[in-house]
Amino acid sequence: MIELLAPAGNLEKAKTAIDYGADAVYIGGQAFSLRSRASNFTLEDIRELVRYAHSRNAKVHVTVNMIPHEKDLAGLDEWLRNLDDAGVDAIIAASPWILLRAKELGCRFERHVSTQHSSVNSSTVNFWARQGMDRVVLGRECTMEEIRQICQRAQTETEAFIHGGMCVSYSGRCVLSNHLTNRDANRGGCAQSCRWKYHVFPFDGSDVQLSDPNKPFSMSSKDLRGIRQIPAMIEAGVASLKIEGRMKSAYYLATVVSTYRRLIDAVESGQELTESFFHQLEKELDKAENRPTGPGFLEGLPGAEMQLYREHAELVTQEFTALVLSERDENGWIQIQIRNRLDPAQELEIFGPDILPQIIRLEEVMDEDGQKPLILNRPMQVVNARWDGPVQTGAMIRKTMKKQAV
Amino acid sequence: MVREENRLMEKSRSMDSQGVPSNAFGKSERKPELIVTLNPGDPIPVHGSLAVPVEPFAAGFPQAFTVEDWRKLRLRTIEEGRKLYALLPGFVMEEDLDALEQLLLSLHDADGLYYGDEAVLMAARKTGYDGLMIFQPDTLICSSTDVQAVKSMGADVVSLAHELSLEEVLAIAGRTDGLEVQIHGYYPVLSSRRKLLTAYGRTIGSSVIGEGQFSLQETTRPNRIPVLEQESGTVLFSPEPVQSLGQLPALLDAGIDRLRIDTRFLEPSDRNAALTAYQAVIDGGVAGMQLPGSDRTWRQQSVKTKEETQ
Repeated sequence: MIELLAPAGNLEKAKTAIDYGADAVYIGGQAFSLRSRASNFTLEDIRELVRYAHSRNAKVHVTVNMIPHEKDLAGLDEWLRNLDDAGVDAIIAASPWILLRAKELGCRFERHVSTQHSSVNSSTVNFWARQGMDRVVLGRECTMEEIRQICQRAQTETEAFIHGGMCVSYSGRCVLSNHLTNRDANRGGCAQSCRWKYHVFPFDGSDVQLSDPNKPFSMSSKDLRGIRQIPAMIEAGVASLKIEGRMKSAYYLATVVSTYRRLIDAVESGQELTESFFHQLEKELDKAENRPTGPGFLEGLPGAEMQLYREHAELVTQEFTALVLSERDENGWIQIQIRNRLDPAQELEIFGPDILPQIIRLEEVMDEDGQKPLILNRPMQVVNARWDGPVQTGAMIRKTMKKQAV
Repeated sequence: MVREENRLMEKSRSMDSQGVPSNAFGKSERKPELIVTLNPGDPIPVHGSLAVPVEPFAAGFPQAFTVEDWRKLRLRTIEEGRKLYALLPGFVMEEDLDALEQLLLSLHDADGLYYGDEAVLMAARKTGYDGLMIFQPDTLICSSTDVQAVKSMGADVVSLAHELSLEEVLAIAGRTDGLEVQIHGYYPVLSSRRKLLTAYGRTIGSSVIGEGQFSLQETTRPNRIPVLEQESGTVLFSPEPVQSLGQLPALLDAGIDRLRIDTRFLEPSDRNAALTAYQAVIDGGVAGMQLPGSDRTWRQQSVKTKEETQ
């Protein structure tokens, strides 16, 4: 059984990812982790998540993936022991010292080599296997054919990215942010300077601008969407399929995780994978994306079609409108929590851990004062609603609006 | 023989009773080795050990030596009693593993191999290579503990990240040995497998922008950033070359074993001036000249979050 591994920036998101079909989640603790802006987990959060995950046969991986400087190491042993005591299943680390130290301390969790090492061949994977590592996260620069060959020769498990943001650089080998902002990319401070705009000049120092002033050079890449390669990855023997994005919303995770879950289940059950099925899944992913996507390196070296140069490439995606908090009561009312502006007269779509996307229309909505509002625009407000259609606690309701480039 | 002595010297560094390498020996009277990279076609400098990029694993170097060039240079350096290292900084893709092993057989007489991908270390073991293995991943090694870990995994020498401050380098040197530091020249700050310039050139319909050397300038900042695109991808370099004359006495006092001058984008005359100035200080004299470049990174500690910059 291949593992579907989802990111989570907080406890709610982690539980959502598991509920929607992730076999494992990866999270950052409050120490030694990249993604400084992600709301990283306290130790108590981690303990609660481990209990939640293990009770649902899911696993918890914790990123300990910063490249530490001399002053960053205080408290490392205690942190690793605490993670071990909490029962986490694996750490994902980039520092060779941290990977070795966990073993020396007798920690029982697995040790996974972070993509920060950009392992892009079987020999490097086997180097880490010899050091006793349980898994190597492959660099996002590998093509599908390279992944297949690596898996054939690898002496330990491999993990491959299938969805989400792409570093334009080999991971770990970019410190552009350090030089332009003094923020350390390898310690969680990446300012995404690669996505800024640059003029191009000849190397000789002349001031002849070669770039287009109206469309300056940028190193921003489309996000990865590897859904077409999932069957090949499963066949190749990749151990874990990884979704990127610890900063992403619970709605994004629910949509993306449930979509890949459907595909993986279909492959593993031997279901025929028709073009129409892929089209359906891709349409579903469209509902969560806020950036253009492509296959990254999976279909070969990316060219101009995978780069972004436009002023604003983001797409409107605020479609998530309400979270279902309860089952239907004896009077037919269902508690929902408003997340974004909701017009009760509008056509909506519900999807959930066990609900495939389906159109619904709200028949009636009643707020806490017994009023029937025409518009619901107070985020986190809890109201009662009635509709004819499926209900499941934890399901999500979204608008069926059209996506527009802005 | 020279490389065997060199290797034994690196291997003989002491370990204290807790298993933590001590650099008590590193602060001996022995001078550090000064290594200068050599670009094909440039005149050979009068002193210093040489490190040369070798095809086809020389990503990030504008030109590289062929195996035939290597053989000629190896003969000459043996005659002159100088060390010669091969620079193999690039990532090794799966389909290139066999070519890597073949190359290492041709480089069996190298005094050492610089590598940034552990596949090189694995291939060196497989082919019986017994020279120095110098781990040089540019950005990854920022602590004494990681130096020790990498050495326990097979490296003999570890090159520290360029972004470390002098204070940090000295702290690391106080706790471990087998260190190399780049003291002069440009260094990579971003390495990509993508052909970023070609992609952009195609997008705007430019026949000029593509493979080769260019400069980038962020639209709100004054500095030009050297960028090189090759078949293997794109590399951005530091906006300015590092120069370390002011820091050299402290580095010498700390017992750093190896000091490197990277000559990418430098004219031979600038390279020679730098070499002469650093060698003078290493020999106990004074540099006697100013060198172009910046020592900003030596003085600056990077921060982890946006909040720390405010």
